[in-house]
Amino acid sequence: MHPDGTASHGSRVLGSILLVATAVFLVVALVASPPDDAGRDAMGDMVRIMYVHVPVAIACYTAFLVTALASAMYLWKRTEGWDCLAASSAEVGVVFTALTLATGSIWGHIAWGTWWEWDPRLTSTSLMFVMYVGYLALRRAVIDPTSRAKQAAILRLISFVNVPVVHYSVDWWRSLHQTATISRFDPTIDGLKLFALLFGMVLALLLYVADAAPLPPPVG
Amino acid sequence: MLHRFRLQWARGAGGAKGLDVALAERRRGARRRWARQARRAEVPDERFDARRRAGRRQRVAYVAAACVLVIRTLVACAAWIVVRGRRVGRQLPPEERRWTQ
Repeated sequence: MHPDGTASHGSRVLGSILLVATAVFLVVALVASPPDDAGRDAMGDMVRIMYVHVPVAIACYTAFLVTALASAMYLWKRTEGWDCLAASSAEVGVVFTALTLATGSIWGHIAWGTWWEWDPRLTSTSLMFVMYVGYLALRRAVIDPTSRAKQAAILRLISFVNVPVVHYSVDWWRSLHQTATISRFDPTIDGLKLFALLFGMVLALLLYVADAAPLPPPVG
Repeated sequence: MLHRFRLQWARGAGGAKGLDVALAERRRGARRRWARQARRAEVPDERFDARRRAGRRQRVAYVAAACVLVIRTLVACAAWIVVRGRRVGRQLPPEERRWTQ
């Protein structure tokens, strides 16, 4: 273990589990699970992109939910730990949002014939990405720690308003993007494909937890 | 119109050699044509197969690109966080590194 590192026994165990789980996930998602051949809108091998696209999207929702809760807790309790948790979660959430947009774009290029479409889901997701990137910029711009934490918490709560809009945009507006694959315990896929998707979600959430474990604030 | 034309043809042919004989000839001809089409369908069209293979290769490349992108980005993000953690950790006295206890 590096003497100056932030690793603990627990985080090293989690890292080892994640390495093994990622290898197993790749085998399940890319080799073991069958291509989608059900119905008129069958995706074939392209369904495998869903096993990474949907989990990273779920992870980004979770990250921003945790960010909002931690921000509310900071405004209530005014303790530094909540601000650290919200900042860590938001930063990792931005990475997951960028990955959601990128994998969705790859999917869209082959399924829709275009890298980008000004569709409600895509537009609201990109807006969410820009808002949280703006939050990260604000966090770097304000020097005073107390003022920074307060302003950042307010901006994080404002930014969270967009998250339900992103999720329900496919139901509220006419969208090119497909509706939820797994909702209300009535999934539209089953068998090994459903397992690969759920496994990917658990893995993405564990990756989020491993990445977003809060660091101590800088000294000096 | 199609069926009306066939009726007209059958009537004309039937006038010359009897309706039953004409219909039997027509059906034999149709069966031969269907058999030829079915044989042709069984023979793989090389150009179609090449296009299908290229399409599958392209889809596999897109899937691989998406997986590589996600894994490389998350690994890079984790490595960046670890490096930042070490940099910050150097500034803290060992007794304040709560995660090592």
